[in-house]
Amino acid sequence: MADTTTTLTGVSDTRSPESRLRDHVERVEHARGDRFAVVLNLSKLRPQNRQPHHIRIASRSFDSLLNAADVQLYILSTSDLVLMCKGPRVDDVEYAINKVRTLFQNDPITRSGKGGKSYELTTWYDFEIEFEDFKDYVAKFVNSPGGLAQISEDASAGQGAGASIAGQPLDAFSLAKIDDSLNRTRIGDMIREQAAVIIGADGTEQILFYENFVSVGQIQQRFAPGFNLGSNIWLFNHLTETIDRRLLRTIEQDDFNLLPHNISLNLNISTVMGKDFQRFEDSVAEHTGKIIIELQQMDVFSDIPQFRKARNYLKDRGYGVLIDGLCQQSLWLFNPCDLEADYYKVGWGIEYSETESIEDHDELADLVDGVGKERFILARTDSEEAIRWALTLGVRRFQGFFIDTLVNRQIEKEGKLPGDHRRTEQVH
Amino acid sequence: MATPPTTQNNVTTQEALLLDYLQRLDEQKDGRRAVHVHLSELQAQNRRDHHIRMASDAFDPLIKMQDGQLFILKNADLFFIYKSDSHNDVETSILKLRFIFSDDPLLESESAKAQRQFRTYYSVERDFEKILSIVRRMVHTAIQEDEEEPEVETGRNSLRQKQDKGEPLSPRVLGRVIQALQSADLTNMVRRQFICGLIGKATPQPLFSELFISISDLRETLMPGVDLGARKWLFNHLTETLDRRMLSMLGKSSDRSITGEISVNLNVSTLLSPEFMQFDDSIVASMRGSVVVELQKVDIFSDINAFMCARDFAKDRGYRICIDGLTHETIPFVNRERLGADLVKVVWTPELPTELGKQKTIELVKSLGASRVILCRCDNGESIDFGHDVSISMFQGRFIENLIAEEARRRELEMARRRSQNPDLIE
Repeated sequence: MADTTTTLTGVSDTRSPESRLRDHVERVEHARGDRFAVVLNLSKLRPQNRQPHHIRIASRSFDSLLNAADVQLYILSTSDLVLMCKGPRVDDVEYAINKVRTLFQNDPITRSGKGGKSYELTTWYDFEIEFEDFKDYVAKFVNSPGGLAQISEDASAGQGAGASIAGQPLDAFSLAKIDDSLNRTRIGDMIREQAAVIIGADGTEQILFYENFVSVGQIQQRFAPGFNLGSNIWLFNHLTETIDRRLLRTIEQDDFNLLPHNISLNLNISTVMGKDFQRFEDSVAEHTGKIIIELQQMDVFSDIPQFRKARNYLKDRGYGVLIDGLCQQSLWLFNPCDLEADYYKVGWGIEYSETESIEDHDELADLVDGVGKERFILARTDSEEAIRWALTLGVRRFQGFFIDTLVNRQIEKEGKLPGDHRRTEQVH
Repeated sequence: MATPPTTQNNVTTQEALLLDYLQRLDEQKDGRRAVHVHLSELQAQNRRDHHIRMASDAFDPLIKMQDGQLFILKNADLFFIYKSDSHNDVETSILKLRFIFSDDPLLESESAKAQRQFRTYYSVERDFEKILSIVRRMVHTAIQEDEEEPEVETGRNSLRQKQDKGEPLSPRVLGRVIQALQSADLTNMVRRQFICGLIGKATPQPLFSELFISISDLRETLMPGVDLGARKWLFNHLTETLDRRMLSMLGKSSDRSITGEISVNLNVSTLLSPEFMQFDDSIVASMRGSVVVELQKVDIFSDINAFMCARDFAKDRGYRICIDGLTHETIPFVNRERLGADLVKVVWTPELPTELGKQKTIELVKSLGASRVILCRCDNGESIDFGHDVSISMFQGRFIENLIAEEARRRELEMARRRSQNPDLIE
């Protein structure tokens, strides 16, 4: 994240932008006339919108302003941008800020819906009146720790999304080494499972399937400490092909006859069409109906003919097919219902309920209908609010952190869930 | 971001292209000759890809002077049709070929018979029907071979195909290639292809040109024997490095030939990178409006948020956005307006009319906006005719390149004719 903590003042200066900003504030303390500051609260953006490239692009929106007027820009380690201005027209500053607003139009911070008020994009400080407030704002980061992304273990967040752990970017040579070690190691202990459930009319959950997935966080810890596996999407995708093969090797040792519930596996299309899957099939034998294969939307759309081949192959043999990694925008931009999958997993974004208008909600309802309510699984369900929102659309299938909590609670209470025929000792 | 190399659909096109060319030559046969170079008669180890390329390079000066048109056939034979005036130059090129392949048994003997086995000369005017029938036969054989290939001795064929394609790209090889790319001079691998407006039988009007790094040249130079298409994710990563090299070439270039309206294929991640910011700084604001950024559809799906962010940034700066690589399979999924793209490129394949059909394509083109659609990889007249039938008027591909070359040649002739009629004429 080093590249977000730079300023565009053009002067080579190795001090942190925070420290330079403090100097700047001190310098102008006695010359406040005509001066003001604008803080762009980018630290309040959703984490997926707060990647270094977003901040870089946002900061570039001020290029012409910086050239034309007495304005300096500080990019803080929190991702906030601070504009120190002397005399530019408010309209000119607002014009540049509107470009940033457009960039993040999908983030609640740029919308003024219900509950959006705490996430204002900008805070303006007129130095003749609010200088002290601004000083307080600046003083805040003296001891503010840098925010590191946390390790997510939500399988339904999609492959790669959970891997955004700080570290050195992955390169091809390191990938080769990680590939080699992975190929030599048994990864049984790194396989996790996460339930997807159907919530019935009476409010109780029933197991739809358990997604079996390899914890990317653990792979990173064991095989690639210091690297950020998710830093390059293409290299990460290649790694998932290796992970696929290792996962199949482990799962194929299970006795599918005794499998107490349906399971799902997230695989590349190339894996499904490859040798390792054929081996896996030999051990699955007639139990294909218990297995759902999840395919990523990126993989699907990158080669639709190949996807169709894989889908037909799987369906002919009795597997279920699920398209994973969808989001509201992908439903809106590309209509995936023609893909003829059994399930479509769509990620929950808090923006759905927080900022959506009645029209937005209706449009979403149409999208859900297009996919089919009974084929729609809401992923990344992290709150009760998400469930309530989805139920208004007729969606009853869920996966995510909040569902994990519900499932665990019910297991504690009753020993098991309907649809889950596992022996309880396996759970603990 | 470049597209992965495919071997599909190009196989018969050179034969078809040659036939098409001959048929259109019907009116202007006089003063033209042709030479058929039978490279297929050489021993197998002498007709690998790079041999064929070396051989075809021998005709480059003539092609550049627009004195002739070269066709590289499926069986590795070359067919060159040229102006009679250049016959001496052609003989020189043949001499060069004899030198290149001098260790092959075919060229050991200097006898007239052996000479004929290596190359056959024709006068287009005199032998027109004969040439036409030979070429028709070639088109036919090429199609047949294509159809038969999967059935006959699949084991041997797949093994041979694998050997031809080479080993799949591995992370280690990729790492070495990326390292080599940091210092390699890629300027001679940059190719340019025009996107033209083409309405009816009128002359094609160049609108802008796509600059790209030739993947087959790159493969031959840096990683012979490696199959780049087999690992799509690794290939995509390679294109990120190529993007950066392309941007630095464009940013530095004082070369007048790459000014004008251009398009480059980039990854979304490249658009969001510091290298793109540098490129953006280095070019004058007025040039941005004349740069079209082509994005691959897979890249949009990899991170929709990143795509939208990159798109808005690029459009705000004045660049235009083109979604590349749509096929008859993917067009139905794409909503250009919602994607905020200025242009889309649809890849011509013979399946477009057969699988999607004319009526459906007309509807889809209409929904994309007919004036926003480019039909690319047009290798033959059929693609253009189909494009016209479905209201597409922008085209790209080898067929278009040939039309442009032909038009330039025609103009030159016209100018020469006028000059000879009126010696005082000033161009």
